[in-house]
Amino acid sequence: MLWKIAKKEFLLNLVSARFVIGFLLCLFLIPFTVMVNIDDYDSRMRVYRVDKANAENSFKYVRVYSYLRPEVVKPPEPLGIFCRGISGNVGSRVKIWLGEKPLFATGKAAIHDNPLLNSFFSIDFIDIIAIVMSLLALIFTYDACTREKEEGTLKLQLSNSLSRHKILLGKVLGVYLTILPIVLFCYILSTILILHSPNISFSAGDWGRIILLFFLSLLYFTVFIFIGLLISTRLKSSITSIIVCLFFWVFFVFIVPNLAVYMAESLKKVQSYDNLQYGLQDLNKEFQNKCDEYYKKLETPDWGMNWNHTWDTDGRRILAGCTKSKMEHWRKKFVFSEPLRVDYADKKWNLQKAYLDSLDQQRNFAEMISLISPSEMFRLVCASLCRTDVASHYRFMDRVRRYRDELIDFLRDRNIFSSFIYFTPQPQETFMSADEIVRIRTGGEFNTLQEYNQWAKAHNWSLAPLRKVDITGTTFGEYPFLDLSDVPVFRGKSENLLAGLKQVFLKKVAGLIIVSVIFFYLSFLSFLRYDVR
Amino acid sequence: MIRNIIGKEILKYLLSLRFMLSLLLIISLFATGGFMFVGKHRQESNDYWRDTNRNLSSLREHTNHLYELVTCRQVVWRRPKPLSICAEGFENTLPDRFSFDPFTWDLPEVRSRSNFLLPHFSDIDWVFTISLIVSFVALLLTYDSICGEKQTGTLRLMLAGSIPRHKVLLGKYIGAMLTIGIPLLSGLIISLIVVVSYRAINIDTGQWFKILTIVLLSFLYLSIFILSGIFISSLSHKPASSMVVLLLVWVGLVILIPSFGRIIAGTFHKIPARVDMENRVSEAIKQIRENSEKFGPGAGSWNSYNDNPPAAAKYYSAQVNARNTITDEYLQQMVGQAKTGRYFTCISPAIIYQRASETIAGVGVYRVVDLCRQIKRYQESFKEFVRSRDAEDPDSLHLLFQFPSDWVAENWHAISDERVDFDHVPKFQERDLALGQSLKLTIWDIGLLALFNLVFFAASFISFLRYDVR
Repeated sequence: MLWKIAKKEFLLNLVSARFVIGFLLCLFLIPFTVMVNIDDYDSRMRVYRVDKANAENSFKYVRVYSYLRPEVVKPPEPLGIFCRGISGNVGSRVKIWLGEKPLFATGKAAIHDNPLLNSFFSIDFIDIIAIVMSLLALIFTYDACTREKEEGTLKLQLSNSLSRHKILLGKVLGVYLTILPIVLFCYILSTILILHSPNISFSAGDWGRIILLFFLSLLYFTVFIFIGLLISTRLKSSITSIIVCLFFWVFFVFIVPNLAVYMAESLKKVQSYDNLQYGLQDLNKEFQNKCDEYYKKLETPDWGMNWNHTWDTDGRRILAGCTKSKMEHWRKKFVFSEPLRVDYADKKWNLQKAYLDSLDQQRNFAEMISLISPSEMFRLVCASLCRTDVASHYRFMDRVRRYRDELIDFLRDRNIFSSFIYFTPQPQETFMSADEIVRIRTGGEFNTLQEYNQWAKAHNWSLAPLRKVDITGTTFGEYPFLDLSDVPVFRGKSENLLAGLKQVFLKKVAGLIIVSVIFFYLSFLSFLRYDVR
Repeated sequence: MIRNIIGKEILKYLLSLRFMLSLLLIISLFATGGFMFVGKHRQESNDYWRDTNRNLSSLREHTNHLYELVTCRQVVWRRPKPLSICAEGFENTLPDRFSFDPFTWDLPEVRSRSNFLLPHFSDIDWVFTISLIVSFVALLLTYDSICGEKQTGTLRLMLAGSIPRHKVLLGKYIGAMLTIGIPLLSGLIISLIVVVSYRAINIDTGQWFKILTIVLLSFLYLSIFILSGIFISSLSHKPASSMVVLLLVWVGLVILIPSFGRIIAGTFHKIPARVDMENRVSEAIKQIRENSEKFGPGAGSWNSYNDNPPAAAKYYSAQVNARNTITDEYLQQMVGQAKTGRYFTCISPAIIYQRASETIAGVGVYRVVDLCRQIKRYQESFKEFVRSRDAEDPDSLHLLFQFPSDWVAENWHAISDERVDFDHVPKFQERDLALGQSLKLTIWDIGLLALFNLVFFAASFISFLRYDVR
């Protein structure tokens, strides 16, 4: 009997206008969004390849360790085609500095080429499911009881020996049978599109996640089906029922998410980014002062002249052709400054962490409010399944920070901070004293630095005599790049099917299940007491 | 007679469940939006004044010598506006930092002060509430206005009298408009009371007129949905099917089409990447460097400012001009792309309404563009000020251009090194458009909204004239 009712419902729905319209809507929307997102993925992939090549080059062409500042590039997430999550807000590149722990990722994704386009929302597969499918679920169920009551067939059915729970179950099954083909169709269509595009390769785990996504979508419909049923069993006319259903829909799908973010932004204050910057600047100054104080204590090198000397932020410095004492001077500077720099990075991290925490608290607050709505719950769960949620971003940043620690440990273990190779490619044996340099470079015209200085004083400090003879091994280009094969490299962890989907994910899924069970129970109770006359 | 119909319609609506629900929803949304806005506005104003004062104090530090003023780089932020309560215009995600010196300016940046961990959503401003929620309520009120009466049989009865059909239609339309006016106006008033009672926000007369214009625009917008509700209801014979069709139309017009704006703009109006633009700039500058001799002998040499000052001035100005031209072009392309997105999404009245209210409230994309324009004007007046001060100094070479370095500025005497009175230095102030000017900008949008109204009115009129009332 159950099957008969289900079949009747299914057939009734199948010939209705709502089924046709809903189906056509999906037929149009799904391929469009999936194709656009595939295109977006392709362009991200192109950017990734360029960035990756740049990062590899900058890792390869290093002559001294102080210039070793690797860049980690995160590949775009293929599952982002289904659900973008926050991947549009965060970048994909992280540079590893000694003086600062990585806080954000930068890169194209974070700064859209055209920020003026930010005034448009973007939409993805999961959004369509969340908006359109929930609407369909309600449209199919709002009149489940009320229509039959209005037409009088409910009385007729129940005058037989049919139990009420069978009717309700039959109706639920009928709606499922109607909606299942639409959902299945959406997923198959997008799978075909993805298989068809040459640049995307999903791992077995990814396919597993898509299957999970499918079941999640079904769970999501179940919630809305039961909401529709509950409303339909509480009310007497179809018209009132659809209006109430739609109010719930608008509330859950549009008002709650906007309201949650808006409330979080205005009620939960975050630390200002500028203040963080000022705090960091103060620490930088403190660091610089400490260094300067220490440098004053060092004895000055015999001759300040250098032939090749380049420097940059974060203690990057390369020099060649200086005197032995100057090299030693710089080595002592680095022995002091670099470990201190790393310590200061930890101090800065305290401030950065406080800032990140305040952002996270605001997000948590928004999330708490948005959990009133099943559609937000669904979106969050999908984002974590597609690895585009906040937690995935945190995991990535944590891994990058651990990688930085690894790199620093490597430099420390090998005593690289206190060795000459940190800032000069020139072997220690070839360092010369000032007199030697003057003698060779002037071709024997002056024998000591003192002689040259006396001459130069009278000749407006001219460097001309020093340019007579070149000393080999004093330009950077003469040295090969460092062999960095033993330097640790960042490895993107290959995640298995359920990696990273721990308690939070399961809690939310359990939340969805509990909500649907509650709604089912309520609609069951309410239908048992429904006045069918 | 038409009065009777209007009265009957209003009474029917007022007693209905949907009206109660909508009233509750709309008023609570407006009230929440108002309260949230007040808190947010306070925070934004504090930030804004802090940043602006920082900029002014840095300008003040540069007044010791006139040449320092020329090298001073200013940073201007967008001023938070009280009218953002009407239309916030997605300003959270739009560029808000404008950095410039008297000669060059950078492309505006998004210094996202908003939390990057939060998803992008709109604020609960008037435009959000009206374009999404109230328009939905408009459909809920009218989806059964014809077919519902047909079902209950009262339509036959009514038309059996001597009343012509157009009067019935007009009565229904006016009734629905008046009914929707109740929650809308009460919501707006509550929201305004919340905002006005907060001291730090003062709304001047011009802004009151702008608010009034936005309210009128809202009615024009809602009227489209009321007319389309009547139209669809006069096409169908069952309220339920009319509801389903209207819902899908609504989802399409208000939700889906606006969401595709970005995609459409990105697909149909491609612009070069920012990196390409930067490459073009460096290419142009390289060319100028290579042909430096055409500005005069020694213009490009490393101590040209000693050898041939006027040539060096021309040479450096040429570099700045090349950079400005390319940046300007790129900004135009960016604006063009955003406009394409808007043009394509103009099928949706929600977008038209949103754009028109943004323009009236002076927020959104066009404000960013306008700010860039104002900054350029300010640069001119700033340079004019420097020139006039410089003319008073006989020792100066009177060569005003962007110095390649601070050292050059200090040692070269191209510009006077007299002290400048900070009070006389022009300061940047963002100017709002007057109501008349913003109305001029929105005239097309208003026209389009009116056109939508006209089309739906004509359609519902024709279809109701041919409606089988039996």
